[in-house]
Amino acid sequence: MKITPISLFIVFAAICMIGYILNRLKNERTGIRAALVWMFLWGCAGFFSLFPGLLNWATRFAHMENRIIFVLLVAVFILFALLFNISTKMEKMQRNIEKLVQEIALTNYKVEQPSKDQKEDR
Amino acid sequence: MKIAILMAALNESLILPSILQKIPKEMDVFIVDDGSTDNTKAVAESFGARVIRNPINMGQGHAFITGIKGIVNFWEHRDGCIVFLDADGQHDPDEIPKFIEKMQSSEADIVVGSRILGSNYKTAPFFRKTFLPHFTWIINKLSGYTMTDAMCGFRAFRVASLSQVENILDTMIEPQYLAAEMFMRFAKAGLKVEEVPITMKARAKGASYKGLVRYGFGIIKAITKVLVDKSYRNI
Repeated sequence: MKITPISLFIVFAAICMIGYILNRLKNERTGIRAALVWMFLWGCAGFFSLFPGLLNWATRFAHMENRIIFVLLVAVFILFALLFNISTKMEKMQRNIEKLVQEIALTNYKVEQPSKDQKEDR
Repeated sequence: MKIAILMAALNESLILPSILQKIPKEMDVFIVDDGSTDNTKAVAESFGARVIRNPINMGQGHAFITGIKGIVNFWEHRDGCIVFLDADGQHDPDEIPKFIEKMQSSEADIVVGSRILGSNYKTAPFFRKTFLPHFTWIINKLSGYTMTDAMCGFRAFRVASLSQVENILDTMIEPQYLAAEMFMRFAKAGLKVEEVPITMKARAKGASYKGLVRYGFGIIKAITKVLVDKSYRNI
């Protein structure tokens, strides 16, 4: 364990963010799945800033020379995975909205038509 | 044969009267008001049209699918046909009889208007003349049809045929790019397509909502999604 000002700052930020996410979870403003993913990511950030030696080991394990590039690559990979997840969910939501709007339009039409016919009869 | 006219309209209250006046009284007009903020609905109803109103704007393809479902479910004439028209004045209602004659003489399920076979195609915009045949070629290759203009919005459908494939309408993934997906799915369902030449008028006002590049990418995206869609492979 090697404690530097920047590692202390990252640990502090990670604790704050995990606290914030837990608070959102408690108030039901975040789903359990999203909360777990973000708490895990912030937990990793705090953990590796306290134990940077583990990152050296992981970098060697991945046959890479530079620790910074390894961290950046992992971050980009995680962001791509999150982006893919979000875009898939958005497409699903779009489909649901389309179906819902169609349902509302047809139901309103069904409801309005008989009342118009009745008015015409009068 | 009883005819229903189907139009999708977004803020077309100024143009609609000129189109509706030209439509013969014996035809039933259905308008899908696609979330207009002007008085499109009131104008359409004042001409006796039946209006199905989308609470928010969802795009022309979505509006047409909603309209078809409305007609298939609530229109009393099951042996009639639906003619799609653009509500921006580009399609001439006087050409509707051509579609009906072709449908009756050829027993087709769908009759598509072809701008390429039309008399004024030489004066069409450059991009349309350049890319339309290529998009159509791709759709023909995938569907097995031999159309000259797959992207034209002036089309006629037999209600009975649409009733048979109503479940296909629910599986449409990319209604914004209706043409590509529709012809691919309808070809698999065995619907017969014929064409009639049409003349295209200039848009009465405004511009197309989609740029050509965006439209091209959209079609390719729609085709890819349909090809990998399980419901398409299982038709």
